[in-house]
Amino acid sequence: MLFNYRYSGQTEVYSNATSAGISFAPDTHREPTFFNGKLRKKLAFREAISALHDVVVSDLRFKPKDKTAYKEWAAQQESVWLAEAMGHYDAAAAENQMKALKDELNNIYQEKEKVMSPYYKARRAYFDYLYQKDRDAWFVLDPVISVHPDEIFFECFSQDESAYGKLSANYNVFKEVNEFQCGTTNIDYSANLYNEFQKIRDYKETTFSVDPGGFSVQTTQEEMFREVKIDLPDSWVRGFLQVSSAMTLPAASFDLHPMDVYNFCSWLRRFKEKNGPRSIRFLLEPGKPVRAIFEPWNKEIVCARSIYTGPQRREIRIWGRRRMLILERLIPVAKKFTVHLTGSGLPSFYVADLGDMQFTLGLSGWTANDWSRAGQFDLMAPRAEVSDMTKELVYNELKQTWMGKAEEIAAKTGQPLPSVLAALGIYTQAGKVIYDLHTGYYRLRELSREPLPLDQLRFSNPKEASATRLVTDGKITFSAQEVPGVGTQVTGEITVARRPYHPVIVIDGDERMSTAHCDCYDYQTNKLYKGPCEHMLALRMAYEKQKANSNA
Amino acid sequence: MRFIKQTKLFFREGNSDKTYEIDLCEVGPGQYVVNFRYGKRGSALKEGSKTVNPVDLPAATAIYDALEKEKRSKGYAAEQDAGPVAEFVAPDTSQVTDPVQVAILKRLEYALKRNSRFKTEWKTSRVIWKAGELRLKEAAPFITKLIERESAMQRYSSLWALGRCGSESDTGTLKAYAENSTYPYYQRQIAVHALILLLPEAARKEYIAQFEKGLDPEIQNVIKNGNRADLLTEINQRVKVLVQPAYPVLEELYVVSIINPMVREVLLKFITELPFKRNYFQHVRHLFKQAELRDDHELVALLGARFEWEEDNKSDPYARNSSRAYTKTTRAYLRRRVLRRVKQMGKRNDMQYVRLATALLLQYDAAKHNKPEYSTSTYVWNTNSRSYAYVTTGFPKNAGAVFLHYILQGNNKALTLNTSKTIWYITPAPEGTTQAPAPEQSRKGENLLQKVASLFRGRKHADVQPAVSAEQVIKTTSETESEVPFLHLWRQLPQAFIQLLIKGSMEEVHDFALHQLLQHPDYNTLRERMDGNVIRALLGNPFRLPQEYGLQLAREKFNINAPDLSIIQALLNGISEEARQQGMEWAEARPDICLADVGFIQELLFSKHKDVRDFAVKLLPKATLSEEQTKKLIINTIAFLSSFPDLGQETNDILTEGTRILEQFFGAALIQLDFNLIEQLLQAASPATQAFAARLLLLKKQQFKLDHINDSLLLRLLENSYQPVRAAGVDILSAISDEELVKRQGLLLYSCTAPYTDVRNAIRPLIKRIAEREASLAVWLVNELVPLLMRKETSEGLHEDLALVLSNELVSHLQDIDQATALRLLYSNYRPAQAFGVLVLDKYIPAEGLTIKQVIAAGNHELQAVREWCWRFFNQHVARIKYERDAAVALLDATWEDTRNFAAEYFRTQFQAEDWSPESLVAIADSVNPLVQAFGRELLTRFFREEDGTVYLMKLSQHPGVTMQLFATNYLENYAKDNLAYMKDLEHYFRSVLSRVNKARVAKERIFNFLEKESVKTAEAAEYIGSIIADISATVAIGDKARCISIMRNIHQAYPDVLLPVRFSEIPMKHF
Repeated sequence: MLFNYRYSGQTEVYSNATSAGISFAPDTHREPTFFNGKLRKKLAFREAISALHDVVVSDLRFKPKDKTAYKEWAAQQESVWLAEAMGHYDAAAAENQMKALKDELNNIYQEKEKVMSPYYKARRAYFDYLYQKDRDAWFVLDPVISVHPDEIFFECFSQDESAYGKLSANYNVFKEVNEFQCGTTNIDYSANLYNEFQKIRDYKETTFSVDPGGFSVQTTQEEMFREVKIDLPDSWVRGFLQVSSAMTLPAASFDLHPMDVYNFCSWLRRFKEKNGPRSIRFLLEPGKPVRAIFEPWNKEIVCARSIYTGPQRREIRIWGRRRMLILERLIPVAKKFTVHLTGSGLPSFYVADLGDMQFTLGLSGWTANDWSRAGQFDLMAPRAEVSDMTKELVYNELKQTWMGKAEEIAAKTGQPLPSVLAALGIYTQAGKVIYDLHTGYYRLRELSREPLPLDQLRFSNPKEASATRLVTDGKITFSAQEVPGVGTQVTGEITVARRPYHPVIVIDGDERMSTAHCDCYDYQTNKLYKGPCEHMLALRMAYEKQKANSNA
Repeated sequence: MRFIKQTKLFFREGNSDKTYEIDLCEVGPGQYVVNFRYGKRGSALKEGSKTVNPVDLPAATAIYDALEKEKRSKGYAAEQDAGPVAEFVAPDTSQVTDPVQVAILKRLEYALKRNSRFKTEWKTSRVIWKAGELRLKEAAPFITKLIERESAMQRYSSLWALGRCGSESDTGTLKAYAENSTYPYYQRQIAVHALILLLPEAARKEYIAQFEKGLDPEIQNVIKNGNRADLLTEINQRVKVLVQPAYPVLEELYVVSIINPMVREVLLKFITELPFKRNYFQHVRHLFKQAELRDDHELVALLGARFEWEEDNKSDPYARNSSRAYTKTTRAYLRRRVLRRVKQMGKRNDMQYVRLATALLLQYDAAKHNKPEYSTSTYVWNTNSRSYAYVTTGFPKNAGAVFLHYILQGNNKALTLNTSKTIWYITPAPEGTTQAPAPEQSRKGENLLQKVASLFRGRKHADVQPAVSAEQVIKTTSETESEVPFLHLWRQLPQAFIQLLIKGSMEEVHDFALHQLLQHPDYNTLRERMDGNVIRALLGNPFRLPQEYGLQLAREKFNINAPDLSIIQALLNGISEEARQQGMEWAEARPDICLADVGFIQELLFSKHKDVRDFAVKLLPKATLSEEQTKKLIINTIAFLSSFPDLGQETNDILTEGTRILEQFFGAALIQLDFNLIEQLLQAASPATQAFAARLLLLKKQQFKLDHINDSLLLRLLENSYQPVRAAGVDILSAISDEELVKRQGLLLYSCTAPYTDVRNAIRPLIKRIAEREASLAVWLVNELVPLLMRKETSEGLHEDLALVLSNELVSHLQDIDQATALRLLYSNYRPAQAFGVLVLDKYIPAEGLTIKQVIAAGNHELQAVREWCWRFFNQHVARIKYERDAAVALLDATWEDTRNFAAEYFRTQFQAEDWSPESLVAIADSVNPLVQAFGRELLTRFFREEDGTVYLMKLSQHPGVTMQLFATNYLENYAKDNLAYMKDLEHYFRSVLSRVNKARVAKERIFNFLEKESVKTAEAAEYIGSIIADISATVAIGDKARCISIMRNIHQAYPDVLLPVRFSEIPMKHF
């Protein structure tokens, strides 16, 4: 999906010994949004915005080691080794020959080195230059900033498509708030801003502005406007919408003491798991302290000062726990962390209460959204039918007030609460509205200038769409069986067009589909190289649905 | 009602004599009707109409054509077709004696009477075709009657044959077929060609001109303009690019090409490269047949050679059941067909044989046909001996070149053509004898070559008579034994040998031609007739034999006492160096004759060989031309040059060199040239000519001022893609007086930004001159040029050249550039602009005007020169830097290592203790870069002042980095002690260090120690510290937890009222 931005100038953070200023350059294509003020809570803001930066640059995807250099060397060496191995036959003659050949080969290598070294050097210099010059090109989407009547908030999404960060600051964080214009815009963001943020100090007068004008011109540039074109993968946008849509799901919530988060982080920093399951199992029992069990060591951390107040006992597992390290910087400034768990393998949210600021970290079910998780949840599925009129009423209402609780909106528009909720859900999925976990408000926030293509975004591939259809048709029978040491094996039968298919999937301890097979054409031709077939996906969906039903 | 077209058809056979009239009439605008009348001739005709309602013209024409076709197919014929339609009278066949022809006529007669008395079946269409092949005039009346008798094939054959054996009286019939759109396209085209063959000269031209008007208007235009390349691209567009089921344009162009040699040349070139693919091949077939009809040997040979050379089109998926593709069988058939045609021509003793054979031989190219001889071996079952025999088959060189071998040595017993007529192999020895010795013919050819070569070597002197040797050869090889088929035909047309020698491009062909030429009985008379042109053509052939023969011929014919200029010219034009050397030798020997000829000098000047042009330089001083001759030479040269087309760089260079020689020797005469002529030359197509004209203008400088030359002319010269033209343009520009140039600002500006770098550089001295003379103009130029530096360059290297001219020639006129522009230059996207920006900053921008921030930004610039400027600035303005130190320390955080190093060195050496303030020191330590931080810590420690301690602690404690937090702990004991208010300000620091995950052990310990000590001092402190410790105590780190608990215990013991999350209980003791 292609996003086009046009920034006037660049976001700048300026600081010297006595003062500092933050000026965000908004996207001038969008309707004008601006804000001017001076920071009051500078240190907390510094820590929070640094945490937000950590979200932007976070990339915990598995990166295989780069072995090309070794392989190149090995390929060269192979001939030498082979010659050495063969050399044992006729020692003297082979030795001589080998020596000659080795010398020749060395000469050739040297020659090659000589010939190629300017090229390598130039290439290195070029990449170094690129790295220096265009470090911002390494980031994906610039953060979104929204100015609302009561607060200003930043949102961003990580590069690995799995972490969502939102920093909202109400106007107590600022003093001398000048005029502002509510709205949403993208802001120019770059890597070295982080370094400048670190220079914010309590004793420095710090101005904060979201303003196309920026500071008075210091270094003029030839082109006043910078056009930025960002080609975002669909999966990225889907992930962003999924996470924010998950915020509206019912969740098990509890508060954590900052030191509990410290304890989690400390454990994760000290130990690195070599194999799965890599999950945290939260044990929630009403009236008792929250317990978190770190697998695979089964280390239990009891959050003695955090009592679960929910109505019933729950056990929820979450994966991708290393992303929690983003919260590290917030520990000294946070009063408490509120955790919202929507379910095992579903997105989870951590809201750090920084007094007048809230930092929300949303994590998708897993760090990697690879095929083995496919077909498990459909967060983008429409949850209810709503008439267009209701949708429009709700939207117009939000456009006027910018925010509101569902009940208030229902009262004002005169629509029934369930349909208002459904309409808000639809807007959340479309990236037009965001649910504020902290206050319970729905807030108007247009993620992009142009409406997002939802049909294109709902499913990651056509197979998923047809699997959903199979599940709704309901022609699936299956049986699940626990196989020790392997996982849960689910065998099923799906009848499509009077032809029965027999998919079999195995789900391991990390809720991954570890192996699977089917008797359909797709599987026979592609095996799992192109991901699971629609029958496997449907089987998994049906299985998960049943599991959820039996749990509830 | 108005007639558009009318046909009157008649039928007469036996008792029947009837007529049929068809009209096409216009009844109103766009409304047409087709009416007909029929009945017995002379009686009242019955009327009818084919159109109930009027229709438009195409529909009406279709109806009209269909009706005419129908009636013709029933035997009707128009009166004007073949004279008054009368009862058929058999032509007089008494003159025909050839039994074959008699038989054909008989067959046709019987076919007409619809009865056969022949035992053998022979299809009438084939009989007709044969009559056409033999050009049997007597058959034409039969054929006109038989056209519509049977099948489409017969109609086609009849039309074809009529074209060859018909007379002018048949044109009406053919015209009717050619114009009736209901007949298939290929039949109509054949009819068109037949018609063209039969029409008398004037009528033919008119017909073709008319035909041309039917072509697409764009193609007509291109043909009218006569540009070959345009026509070729146009055909390419229409045929190769456009995908269509049929491309009639090819066949139409072939018709036009009959009278237009240009079209023919282009078309043949195009057909040579046209792929034999679906949708093309049908036209190739048609063209082939049409060429056969016209005896267009060149096209037949061209296609024949392609059939022989090119594999069938296997990739065509529909080839199997389509007659439109070039399939294996099609290819084989066409190859056989060409061969058979050649053979039969020979057998008929038709002189066309020689022409077709020549055309075929000319198709062979040594570069393409270079397959060496080879042999294959296989086991063959011998039924007699009941065993396998090992058989080796030898193949001659280029065995697949069927026509080549057939024409050159078709009678050679040593070679056999295989049954499918696709390859020649070496005839195996009859059984019983041993394997025949290796192919004799090749060795024989070698011998011949040697012989010919020795002939030349021996004939250095012209006294050896070739006729003698030729006669001897004839004696030994009598004609009947000759391996060359139909040698007697060749002998009748010896010009063919010369043509082969001149145009051929294969050793074997030259060998054959030369051999036969030398052996020709009339060789001496032939030799006499060969003139300079022939020698020139021979020397123009890059192959060895023609070259040697040409040179030989020249030496034989040349007489130094009565020199033939054309021979010298031919030699000088030759490809081989030896020939040119000879030519120069002779020319040098007789400069009096050579240099007297103006044409000779001109050719010398513009020779495409460098050595000849050099020779011209050597020779020309000897020339003593009269004024008249000089004038003629110049006029001729100018005429030659002004009509010369633009043929690319190489030719232009030749022309340039030629014109330069001309200027060198005839400069005086050239000055006299009229302005109009120069003007005319300037308009010439070839850039070299334009350059010449421009230089001529310069020559005029001595006589006139060039001030009146207008801008557009100069611009044209400066924009020319040919370098010498531009150079001349610059010279002219420089020759214009300064007063005039000052007036032409735009021209100067343009020449600075000209699209070619050589112009921009060549203009620089001029700019320098002008700038010195007219300062205001220079300033204006600077103001115009500077913005261009920041825009995308319009031609490569423009920025660099602009920066050069600005920073050299115009450097003393830059005062108008303001600070903002200088900074814009510095941060523009282009390197030359940045470099120029530094220059401007350095020289013209006062340092006071710049803020420190701008200077520091320059220190982060990616161009080293800019960074160096920044360093210079720092070094030159130490006092100011010291004053603005808070801002200046930011230089330490630069992105470039060299700037950082400079900054560290600078602050270390230039700044003394009194120059620093705590703020600026802390600002350095605030950096995120660990190296700068370390530097900051170093400075802090060095310049530490006791009284600032509290400030330092407060400021440093807010640093988010671990190392700085640790550094801050050093001040803790001294400056935070006993100061609760101060400690409360440090709360974030305490919490932040204590909640560092897995880090900052030392700092944590120090803070725990400090807090432990302070906590018991006052109740307020206990409460404050207790709240911090209470939070931290929730950690899972056992050591920290224990530490927290012990601190809390201390607090509890000192101040039991403080609320803490611990409960202390007495250690239970056993009481005894």
